[in-house]
Amino acid sequence: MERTTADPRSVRRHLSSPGVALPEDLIVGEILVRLPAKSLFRFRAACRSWCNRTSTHQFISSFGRKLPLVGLYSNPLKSLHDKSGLECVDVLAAANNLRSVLTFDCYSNWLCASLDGLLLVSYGNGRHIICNPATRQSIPLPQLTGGVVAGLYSSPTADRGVEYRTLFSKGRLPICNPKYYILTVGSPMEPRPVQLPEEPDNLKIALLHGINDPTPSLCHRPTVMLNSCLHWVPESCRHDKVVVFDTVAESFRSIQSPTAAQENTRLFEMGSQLGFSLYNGRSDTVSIWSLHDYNNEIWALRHSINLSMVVTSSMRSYMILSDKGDVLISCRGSGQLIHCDTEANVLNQLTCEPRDPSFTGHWFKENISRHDFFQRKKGQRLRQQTRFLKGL
Amino acid sequence: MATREAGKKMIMLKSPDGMEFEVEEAVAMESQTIRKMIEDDCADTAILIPNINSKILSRVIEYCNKHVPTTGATGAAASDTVAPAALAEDLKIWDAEFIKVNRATRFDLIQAASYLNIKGLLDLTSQTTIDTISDNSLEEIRSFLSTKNDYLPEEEQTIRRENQWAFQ
Repeated sequence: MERTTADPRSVRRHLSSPGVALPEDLIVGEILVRLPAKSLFRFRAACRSWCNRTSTHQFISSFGRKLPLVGLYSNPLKSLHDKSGLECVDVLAAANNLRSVLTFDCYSNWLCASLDGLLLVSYGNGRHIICNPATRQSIPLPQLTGGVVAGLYSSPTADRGVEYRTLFSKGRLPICNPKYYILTVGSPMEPRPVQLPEEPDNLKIALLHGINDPTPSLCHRPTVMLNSCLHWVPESCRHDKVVVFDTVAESFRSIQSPTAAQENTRLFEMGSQLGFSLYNGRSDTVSIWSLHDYNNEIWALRHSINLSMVVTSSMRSYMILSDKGDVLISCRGSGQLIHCDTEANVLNQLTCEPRDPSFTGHWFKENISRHDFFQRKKGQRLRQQTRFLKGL
Repeated sequence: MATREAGKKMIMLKSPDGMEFEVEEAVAMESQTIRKMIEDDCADTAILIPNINSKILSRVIEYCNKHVPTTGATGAAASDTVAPAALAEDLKIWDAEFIKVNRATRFDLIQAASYLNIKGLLDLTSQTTIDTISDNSLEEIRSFLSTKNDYLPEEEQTIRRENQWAFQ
């Protein structure tokens, strides 16, 4: 991937023209707020007022931009020097399209969940870690070891704060029936078991097949949080339901899928509605539905996008980009990302060669607030920074 | 300067240094600030744009002229013959040329885009500035954005130590 970095000389050239200034409101509100977190932390040491004005609650919540996360896996046969990892794709930027978020050191590392700037990552050997790339903080989650993560969600606490919880399953058919648990991130407590429903049978069967275990080289299918519920499409069984986990009642139910087809489906948030997409490889068509009546489970077919003119080689993965139904497609082998609208008009093309991009389906927005659970407790030994965050 | 064409409503924009610019209403309405004035019927004769000199205002109008949507009743012909992808690519190249200006002009454009509330121009000008500065040292940034270091040396050391990784 070719990166265009600004020439530092262009800054030095301006040193001889003092007196030209931008009002501080614009420096803070338009420049500092759009910086990468690493630059912002450095610039806080420039002067007091920048430090104070970038530490307010309002600045912190407006900082950063939500961007799609793409997994880049270098091909060791082609190059030993390209890093594998997660990068944000800025489809609107003219240059600097990709921004490194995490580095991976082997093919088995993958992203399980992304929420509020926190990434829950699996090492691929059963162990997990949660980290905030913007503040370079991380902690291991030993209670999650051996589990498969369904999703990460936030839940209000009694003292008006939020805590982060993860729903995960342990155990797998045919060896044993999987059990479901909830873990509060940073809590020393053991995970709490969640009761499986007795009825209806097909929901129980879907849950007994466990949660989709995303293989990093294939497409991820993240769970979607909406109306305080996690939603996902069970993969391992023929089943036309979307599984729903109510995070308040801590119970499972299901809603009808818009289609019985299972291959290449995605759930995503579309406005404030649940979106569902299906890619049909034979006709090169992506169909997009939205659940416009959530309670009565009524889906509406919103778009049917024929990509046969856009996808030249075979498609590797796709991601729905916006409420309008824009799609981002990655093509196999070419390292190309294509951004097109619902009429299959190409809006932008990016190249990630020689690496092979695959969408995680997750979004990421840098978060510069520091969560308590990352802080070292008294008497705890200094933790080494995770290797995922090194060299960024 | 724009010329009058049949059927297109024109708006007069005035800069504080006395220059007048006649532009199509659709072009002027790329600015949300001007759009609001027009919609509130505050724009009968001419709109005075305070704080933006004629040199900067003419560049802003140039940007709006290029970026006014070509689809719809007036520009349907253009989008029939040119593929949207080619248009998007053309705009990107045009933007890259447009923003090749000195620091003072770029700062003036940021201020104008902010006052006139033109999102695309504000994104372009501030993102270009960020691309220029995000890898630079503190001293270079202070001087680029004309900010004085008012920390005591030990305070600066403390704040540097807190985020040591950001300096590596």
